[in-house]
Amino acid sequence: MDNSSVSVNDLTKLTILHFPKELLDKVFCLLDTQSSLSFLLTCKLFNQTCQSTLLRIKPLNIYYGGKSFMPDNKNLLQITYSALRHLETHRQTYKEVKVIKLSRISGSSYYTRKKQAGQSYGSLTTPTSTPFPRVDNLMIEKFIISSLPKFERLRFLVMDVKEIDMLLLVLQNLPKNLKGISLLVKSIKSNTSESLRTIDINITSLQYFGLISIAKHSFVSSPIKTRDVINTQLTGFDLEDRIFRDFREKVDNSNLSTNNLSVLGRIGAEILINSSSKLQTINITGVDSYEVFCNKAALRKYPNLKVIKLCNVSIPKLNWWLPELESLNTELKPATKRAPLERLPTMALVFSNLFVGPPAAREREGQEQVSRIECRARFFGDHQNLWFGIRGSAMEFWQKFYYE
Amino acid sequence: MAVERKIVIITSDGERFEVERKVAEKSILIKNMLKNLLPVEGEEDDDYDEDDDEPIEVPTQNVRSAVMKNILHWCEHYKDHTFPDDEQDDDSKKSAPIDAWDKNFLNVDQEMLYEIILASNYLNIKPLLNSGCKVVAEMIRGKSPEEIRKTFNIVNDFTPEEEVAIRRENEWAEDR
Repeated sequence: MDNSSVSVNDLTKLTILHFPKELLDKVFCLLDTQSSLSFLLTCKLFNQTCQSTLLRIKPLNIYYGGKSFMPDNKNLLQITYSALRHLETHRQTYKEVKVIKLSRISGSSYYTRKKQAGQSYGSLTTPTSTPFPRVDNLMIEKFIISSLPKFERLRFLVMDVKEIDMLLLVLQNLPKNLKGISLLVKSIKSNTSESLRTIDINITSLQYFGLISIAKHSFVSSPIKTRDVINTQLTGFDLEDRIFRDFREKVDNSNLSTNNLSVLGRIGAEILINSSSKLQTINITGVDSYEVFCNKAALRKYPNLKVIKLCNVSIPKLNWWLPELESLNTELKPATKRAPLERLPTMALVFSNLFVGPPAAREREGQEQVSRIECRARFFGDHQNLWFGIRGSAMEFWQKFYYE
Repeated sequence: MAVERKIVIITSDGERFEVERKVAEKSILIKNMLKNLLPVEGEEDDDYDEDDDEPIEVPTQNVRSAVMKNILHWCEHYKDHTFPDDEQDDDSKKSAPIDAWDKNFLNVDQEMLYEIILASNYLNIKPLLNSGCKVVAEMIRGKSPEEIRKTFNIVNDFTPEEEVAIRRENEWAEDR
């Protein structure tokens, strides 16, 4: 350990500067973010000893997108540039990064980027005395993409998704041995040619896949409309069967393959297919899960799949794919380190307020419906074909459960 | 029935502390050393002479007597306490507050605190080490760099430019 800073202190007296790296790291790991940053700024010894630890214990927050001429956005892009530049000049620190949070700067337009590139917005930017070059979102995106393969020990990526282009570039450049990915979808945009592009994903070792809507609206295509029901001249169960048969035919035959949600579904399916031998948890929330599983190849054997977690709007077409997935995955799954003696079948978990009452009643209840969300679960291969309710702390556990 | 042999811990400055085996074995380092010298309680060892009542001497070269006295006080207090397996529940342990008795026990001058931490690290007494590190973390938490320097009597060896660069390099970690 470099103890050069100690020279300014009394060498005969034991101080915190005499701590070996493992102890300084231990103290450092007990600090909140702000305190840990202050700690690094205390002296060179602390900074040299613990800066790489910061990369190991905190998710690396990097930002992309946004209008780079806006001061706040520019600052976030500068932060990203500085972080990536630091990693590039200290290449051994790439391997410290375990989690990356790739956030999209909000309030921006991807499609205005090309115009921005040629313009000067010097008068709009905040003056800076720091020796960093001017950054723009295109440059930062390129920097991010070129850096991603270097994070050889990256375990988890959380990414805000808006542009399919950027998502595909990220997926193509992530290290192969990534263990978890959480795609947070706010809106979806893509070039028209996107649906025709081959989806090429390198990752093969995912244990967790999350596709989660963070938008106010949900991502569901082709909701059942009243006219679908009115036009069907049948009654009772026949009516229901007929509606859903006709409706499914309509959905499957439509040109959905060209819309953005379907492209996102195809990407999700490709991710699942590539990591099917390793996947343990699939979490689809706020995005119609049929968009993923209508891709037949995603309905396959998942030898390690323990939990498939779905929420509200991800379930309207559940019966179109879940029974087939279940029939392919009825065997008991391998035990985990935490529960070495227990071998359980795959479990499907559905969180919804649909179980509480009819839609009209739920609407009357207004805000209350949020707290009326219930959890139903079933084990794949259950001969009694039962969905059972999960409540209390067990439900809380599964709500929070995302990755093992 | 054989009388349990006493353990004598010898410090770096030559002082001898005679303690019960279960007190000494709060240190995993000493526990492992004793494993080779004494049979595990409840197990038989053909080579072990149970009539030998000479105390077992354990030298600890890195710990001076004033520090060892404190450490053994801690071990004595917790001699009948079983700490959970270190492998388990690491996150919850990290966020758990410092035990009140430990907090009071570690209310010593900074030099002694660091010596206890270094000694518990050397002797492999994880619960004491964790409490010691938490006390140091408490001394840092919520303070500015200047306040931390003042607390630990550290001189700022950054140039203003270096300080700006480090702030920039680490801004990614800030909560937004």
